[in-house]
Amino acid sequence: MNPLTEMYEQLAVSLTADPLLLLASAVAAFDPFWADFDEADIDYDTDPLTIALQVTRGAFPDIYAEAVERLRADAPYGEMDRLLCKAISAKGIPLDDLDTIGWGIPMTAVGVDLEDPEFYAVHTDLLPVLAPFGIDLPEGETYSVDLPECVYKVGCAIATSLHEQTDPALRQVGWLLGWLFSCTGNSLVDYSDEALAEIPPLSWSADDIAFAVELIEEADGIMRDVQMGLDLLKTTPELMAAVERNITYLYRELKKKGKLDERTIRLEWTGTVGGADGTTVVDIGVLQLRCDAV
Amino acid sequence: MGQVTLGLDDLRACFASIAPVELKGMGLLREQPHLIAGSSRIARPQLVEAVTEIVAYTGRCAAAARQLANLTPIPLLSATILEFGI
Repeated sequence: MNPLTEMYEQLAVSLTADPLLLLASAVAAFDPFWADFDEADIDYDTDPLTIALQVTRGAFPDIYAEAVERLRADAPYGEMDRLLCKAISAKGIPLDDLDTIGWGIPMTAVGVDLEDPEFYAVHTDLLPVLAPFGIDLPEGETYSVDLPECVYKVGCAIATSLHEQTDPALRQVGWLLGWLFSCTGNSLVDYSDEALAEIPPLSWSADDIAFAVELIEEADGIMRDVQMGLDLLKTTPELMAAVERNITYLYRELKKKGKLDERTIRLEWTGTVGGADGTTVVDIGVLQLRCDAV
Repeated sequence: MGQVTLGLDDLRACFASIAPVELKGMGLLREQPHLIAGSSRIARPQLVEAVTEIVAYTGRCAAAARQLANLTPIPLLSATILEFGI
């Protein structure tokens, strides 16, 4: 050990001998930004790394601890970017690029815009599901697909009815239709990217972070159910037939009465989902919409 | 109630009699002074524990400082501080 490093060591030991100096050293070593940030509000008018340090100091102290340690080791910006994005993503908020942190909590909408012709070109596998509603592949070049309001009413009524069922498979099909007709109740699943962009993003406050994590987690779960519901519908002709039958019934009701009276609507799903041995798992007589149960 | 007379030394002694705070991070530095220079590493769980505690502590200190700065004056009728006598 040369005299310089030896002196450095002696100074460090001396700092730990006095309680006040030790406290100051501990704060400087473990929470060097203690006096830099406002406890209540995050300052977004600064560089992404500083915003990330403010966010993690308030909401994710474990990430902040690691970030501080790496900063003290002179980690370059690229490494800090990767570390923070990976750690924040692991908390349930996917963050690809630290540069975007200043815009608020990043969210990805997975909702459907049935009036966008491109949707039909991208999701050809969904055309058989939409066909019973009278929705078909738009012909020729068109800017927007014009869908009557009744399509959404019937789609949501079917989704609601399926959600009322006890069989998880039927509920998965309910999520599929809820996604298609934007009526799941989860904004990320119901809104398209364009629609979500119209809403101010969530801030990085502790409350907003907790809400975002829940929202994203729920959306992921719904989309898993959507995929399983689609697979089920494609492979279960009886279920597809029941969906078609109920759609026809609801359109007829709508035409006859001008509205869907949920108190009198009866949708039948009996025997539509079979077990492995071919026996029926669901055996519910007449199924009702949610409002009937109230 | 009798008149109480305080001096600056008494006030200083009063604050000095408060037991020093003991935080996990301080214990870590006492055990490994190298940490001050950042030349050695700590196990992650220990580091997280120390940082979490210090963040909470500095938060409490900042809140206390804010509250002290906004204290409503209280007239001390029976205490005299010699250095600030009116």
